[in-house]
Amino acid sequence: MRRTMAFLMRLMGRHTCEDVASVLQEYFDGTLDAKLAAAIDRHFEGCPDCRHFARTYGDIIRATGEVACEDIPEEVRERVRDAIRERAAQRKASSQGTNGGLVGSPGSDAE
Amino acid sequence: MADRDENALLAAARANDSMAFEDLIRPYEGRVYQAILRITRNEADAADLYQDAILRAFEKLDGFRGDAAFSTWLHQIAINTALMHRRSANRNPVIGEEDLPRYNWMGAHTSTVNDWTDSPEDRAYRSELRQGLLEALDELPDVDRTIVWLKDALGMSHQEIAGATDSTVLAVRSRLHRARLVLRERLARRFGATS
Repeated sequence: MRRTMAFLMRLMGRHTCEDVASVLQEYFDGTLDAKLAAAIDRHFEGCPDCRHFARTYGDIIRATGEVACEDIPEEVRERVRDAIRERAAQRKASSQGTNGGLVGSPGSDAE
Repeated sequence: MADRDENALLAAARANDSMAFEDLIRPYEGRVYQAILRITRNEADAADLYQDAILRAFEKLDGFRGDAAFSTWLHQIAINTALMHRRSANRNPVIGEEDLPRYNWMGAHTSTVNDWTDSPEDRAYRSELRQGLLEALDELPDVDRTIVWLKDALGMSHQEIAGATDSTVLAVRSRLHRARLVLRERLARRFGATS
């Protein structure tokens, strides 16, 4: 029934609230076809529920950007740096072992 | 970082130059760590998994062909590492029908939708919204939470996210939209904004 109603409304050039919600991502991305975007704007003018829905949906996208963080604890960074150097030293030692025990220069990656 | 710099660092890192590898990952360390922390929601686990992921990347550098950006490839390893850990612990919440918007037979909202953003610049409101958002994010399924974080917090493209999560652009877009709808419903309940 809902799909039939939505189909009839689209035939009349109108969109249901469910239609509007389904394209909000593209609406906020700015990737929505211009004619459809204009139709959505017209729907907003007459539908406070969808207007409020879209405004809160958009505010959540904005808020997620506000909680964005690119920090890494210094102790984690140092620990991983030490682990990388240790792994490089192991690989070097392993490589030398498979090359007949050739001795490389002392004190390189593992320092 | 210029491509040439990155390519030179890649070549050196592949030759087991640990310093070059450290320089290579430096621009992405925080983003990768935070992406893992968003998935695990636990700092101790995040630190361990971050180390696992970085060492795995170091070991697998020869497998990086440059089809995607290095940062995408690094995120892919990190996210897979974190998601595998979560899967093994079987700790994934589910989304219920009550978490999605409801419509009547005419495709209209079944209840009044109120706007809780009347004072969108109010500091107390934004602080509460951010707190509520972080809690609501934590209740999303891991993959959905990861996608929201990569897109809306880190600003990655759908294509990059698809690469980082072993998914398709279509699936990423679909999951992202559904996750935002769920976040909206849960925050609406928190703010008491539906009737």
